[in-house]
Amino acid sequence: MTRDDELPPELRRLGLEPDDLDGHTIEELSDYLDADRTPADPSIEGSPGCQLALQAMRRLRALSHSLMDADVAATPAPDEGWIGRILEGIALDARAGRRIPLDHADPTADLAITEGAVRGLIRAAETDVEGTIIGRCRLTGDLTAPGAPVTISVDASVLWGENLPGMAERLRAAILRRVTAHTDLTVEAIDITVYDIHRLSRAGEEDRT
Amino acid sequence: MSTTESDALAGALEALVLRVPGVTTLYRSGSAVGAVTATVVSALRSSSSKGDRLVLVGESGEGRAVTVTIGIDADSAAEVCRAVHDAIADHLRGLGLVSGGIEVTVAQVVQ
Repeated sequence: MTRDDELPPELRRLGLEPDDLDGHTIEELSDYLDADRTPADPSIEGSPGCQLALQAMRRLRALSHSLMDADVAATPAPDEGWIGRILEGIALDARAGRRIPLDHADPTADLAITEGAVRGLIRAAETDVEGTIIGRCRLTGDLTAPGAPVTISVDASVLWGENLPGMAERLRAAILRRVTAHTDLTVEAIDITVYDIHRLSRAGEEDRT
Repeated sequence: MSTTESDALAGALEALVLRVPGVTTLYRSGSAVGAVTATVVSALRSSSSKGDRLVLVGESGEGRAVTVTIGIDADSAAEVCRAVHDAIADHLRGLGLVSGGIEVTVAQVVQ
C-alpha cells in the first residue's frame, strides 16, 4: 500500500493510488473526454477501470449541464466539494476488486464478473431516478462465496424538493433490478445515504423556488 | 501444443468470443486484476495482431486452459459470460481438444 504522503497531490485529494485506474488519474481521464477521446489512447481504451470511470464521468457531465449553480439563493447552497466527492467515488469504484462468481452447470467453468463492473452497473442506476447522482457504492459480504448475503451501500446526491423516502425506494428498486439481471448475487439489503441535495434545470422549466 | 499452435488457437478464440452476442470488447486477460494494459480489441475489429493475444491459452494437467476477459453490452452479464464459456468449450471439443479449465471474467458492463 502506498503511503498517502508519497502520492501526487491530486491523488491524495481523491484518496487514490495510481494503480486504481491502471496508472491514469481522474484528471487525465477528464482531459481525454474533453478531447473527445482522440487520439485514442490504448492504455485508457484497454483498461476496464478507465472505461468504467469514463462511463460514469460521461453521465455526470451530461447531468452537470443541467445543474444550476446560480439563482439558488432561496435554496440550500450546494457543497462546493460534492462533484469532487462524486469523482472520487467514480475512481474508487472503477477498481476491479474481487471476482464475483457466476453460476454454470459445468462445475469446471470458472465464470465471474468483477466487483468494479458490478459497482459500475449499480452506479448506472442513477439514470433511472432523475436528478440522482451516486457518489460512491460499496459491496459488503463474502462476494466470492456463491449465495452469500451481500449488502450494497450507496451515497447519493439528490434533487432539491424530492421526496427522499420515495426517491430512495425508486433508487433501491433500480439497483436491485440491475444487480439481479446481471449477477447471481444474493442481495440482503441496499442502504442509501443522501449526502447532498442539488438543483436541476430542465429545458423549458422555470426555477421552482 | 507448440507456441504456434497456441497462438493460432488464441487467435481463433478471440474472433469466436467477439462474435458472441453481447460481447463488445476483449480485454487483455489479467487487466481485470490491475495490470497495466496496452491493447484492446473491440467487436468492430476482427482480432489483435499475432503475438499480442488477448485470450490466454495454456496447458493444464488435464488439457487446454483458456482465460478471457470481456466487456459486454447486454441485458445479462451472466448469460453472456455463460455463452462465451460454452462457445469456447464447443470450439475446443470440435478440435478434439480436452478443456483444462475455461475462465471468463466480465470486467465492464456498458450502461
